[in-house]
Amino acid sequence: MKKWKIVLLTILLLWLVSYIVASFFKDSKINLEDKIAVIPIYGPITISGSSSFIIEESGSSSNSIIEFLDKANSDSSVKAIILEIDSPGGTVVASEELANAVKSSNKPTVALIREVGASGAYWVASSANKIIASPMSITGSIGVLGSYLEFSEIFEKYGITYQELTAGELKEIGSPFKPLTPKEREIIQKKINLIHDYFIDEVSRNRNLSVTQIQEIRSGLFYLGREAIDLGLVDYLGNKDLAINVSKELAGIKEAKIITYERKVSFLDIFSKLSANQFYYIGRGIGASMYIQAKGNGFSIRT
Amino acid sequence: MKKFEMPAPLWKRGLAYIIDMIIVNVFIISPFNPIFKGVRFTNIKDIYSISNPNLFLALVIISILTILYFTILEYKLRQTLGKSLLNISVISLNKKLTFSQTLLRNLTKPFVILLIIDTFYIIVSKDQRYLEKISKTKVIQEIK
Repeated sequence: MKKWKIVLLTILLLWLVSYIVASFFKDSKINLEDKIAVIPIYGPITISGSSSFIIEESGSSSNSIIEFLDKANSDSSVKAIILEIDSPGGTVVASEELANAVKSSNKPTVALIREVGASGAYWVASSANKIIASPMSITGSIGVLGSYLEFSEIFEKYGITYQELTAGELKEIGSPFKPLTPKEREIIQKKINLIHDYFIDEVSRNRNLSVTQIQEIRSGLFYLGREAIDLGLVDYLGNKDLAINVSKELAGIKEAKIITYERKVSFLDIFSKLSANQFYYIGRGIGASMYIQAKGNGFSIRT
Repeated sequence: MKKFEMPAPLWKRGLAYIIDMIIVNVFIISPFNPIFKGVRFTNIKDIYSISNPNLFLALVIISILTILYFTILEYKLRQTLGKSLLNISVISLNKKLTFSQTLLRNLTKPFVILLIIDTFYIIVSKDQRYLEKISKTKVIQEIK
């Protein structure tokens, strides 16, 4: 009987001490350090990212950025996300995928446009809760571009003929080795118009733009930050400090640690990229580049 | 009737520890639960976050109270609640079980990883954890 008394008393005593000490902590909020995640979006946006290291200009991979967004969303200590944009745009699908990922983020998002945040990159920025740009940043350019090099006249000059053997009347549409027929031009233009309408709709919905504002941006013209604010394309003019303050305000926090999500480049990556580029350039000639153009028709549509 | 003492089997010791940790959770840790909101205890970085002094301090206090639970009961009764239910007890290899001996043998109890490392010594010694060896104590069961 005495034994159980001691057990009970000890447990009660420890519970009492624990309860009293815990009550001292009640006012001091024990939360892990709040963080704001910065995700850089630099260069052209593509699905895989034109990630040539050192030799060529590198771009942003929508796949990697979406991974970073998922990481930030699943980290409870991350209270807001800043998308640091310096990009002229990208491919249609990569830009749309990224814009959708930003829109579905469960944390407040702020887009900070540095030098350039145009076209597809602006599409991504418009999906964020707030957009901040420098007065001199280049933004807007909400248009669609379809282009390719056409060699048919050079071929004619040098007596080279292009033999077209296709099944399907429009299979060779956009081939660089023959001029576009009026019908082909009309078809491509229609597709570009469709993408443009979709792009405008998305941006207008994201930014809640009026009909007048939509008419203004339809031209595909680029705007400086100070012009973009009047058109409703940007919320504030400022720099990274302002982006951090706006993020804190949206997250309802006073202090936060800034962490940047970047793809770590390992020594092996550098080595393999360098050797891959070296062999690529050794092996490449004019014929090879013409082959590449012909293989993909050389035609690309980008925002 | 004569009683025989033999080393307590490992399964009994494990089960006694689980029972004791349930008591510790209910009576020592639960008062702190409201202030641990948002902390992911599956993330080691969160648990030992030195950058958060309040969290660190709360965990230190919980660890001390947990050690005291084992120490006080073993010093007073040679048994914790779990050990009592499984009929095993602590003995000193010296004359009498002292407070410092029980304190020393229970230092790893709040830290599961340290306790596992400490327990690995049983493979060598057959019936003692490393801290039991140092504190010159043993867990036994009595057979009538």
